[in-house]
Amino acid sequence: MPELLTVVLAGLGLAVGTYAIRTTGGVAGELLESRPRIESLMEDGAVLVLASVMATAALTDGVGIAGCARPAGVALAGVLAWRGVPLPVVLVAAAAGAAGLRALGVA
Amino acid sequence: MVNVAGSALRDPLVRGGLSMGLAVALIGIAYGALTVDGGLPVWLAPLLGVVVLAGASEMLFVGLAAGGTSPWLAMVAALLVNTRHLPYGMAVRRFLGDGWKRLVRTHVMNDESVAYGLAQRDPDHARRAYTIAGLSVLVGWPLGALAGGLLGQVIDQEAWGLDAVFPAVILALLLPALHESRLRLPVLVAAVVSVTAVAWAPAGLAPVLGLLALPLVLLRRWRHA
Repeated sequence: MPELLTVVLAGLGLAVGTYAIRTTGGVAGELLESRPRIESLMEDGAVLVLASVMATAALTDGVGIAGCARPAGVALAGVLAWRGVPLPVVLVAAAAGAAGLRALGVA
Repeated sequence: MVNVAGSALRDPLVRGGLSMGLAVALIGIAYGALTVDGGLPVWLAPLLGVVVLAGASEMLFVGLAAGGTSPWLAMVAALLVNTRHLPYGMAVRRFLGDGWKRLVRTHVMNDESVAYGLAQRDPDHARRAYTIAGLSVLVGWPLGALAGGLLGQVIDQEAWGLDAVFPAVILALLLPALHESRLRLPVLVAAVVSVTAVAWAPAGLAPVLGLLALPLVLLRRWRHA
């Protein structure tokens, strides 16, 4: 265990660095938006990253493929959301679906 | 006061934003428990939750630091996870506005607020949705982390299915974008690329590799132009 002070300082460094990345993104977007072709491409890019964030969080445990319970819960949530079910219900269904399958012994 | 709160709750944008805060609070419980379990103090996770406000990177940072990795290396690894805020910032630049509000709106840029903002069709709604979701996460995430730190390992997140909540939030918010058929194939390719990349890419960088599918968007546009 490294010293706590170092952990806190590095954590603050992470905060500053992350804020810098966020600011840079916003400024870069404003500089590029004068070109109409790039404009919608920036939004599409964010959708692709979000979809990848979702897919990796749903299907993997950070190193390899995860079990079936979590993907099944997420898929159930996707179907409900597609049918217009309100978000809070969708989220409860995702958790309940995954937890239910695990209770039945499905990984 | 009650009336104001009541009418605010009838606004679907507010209700959606609040449910996002609640969702990240549930995930924050696991994060707080992980931090305390690694021998770090209870206040660290909520503190990082407020000042960093990027859950995946914080969990990686705390996990590495508690495991004995140099905190500075852990910081670099966590910053790598947050490179995705660069494309996010480009996409939500119009929601940021000016002055001190811009400083706050820049800080609350995260997976949930970006997805919620981009999911709105009306541009005015989009900025409000982004801000509401961002502020709601700014409150919910550190509170959840504090609760998790105090509870310790009482809550088993797999048994409660909490690990399914985060991907479910993002999926639900992405569905409106997928109504546009032009994005379906690129999104599918991005998902496949990033999931395969998890095995070899540095921790947390795999989602950014989904951008490799961006040329497909261009290609489709040229074909339809």
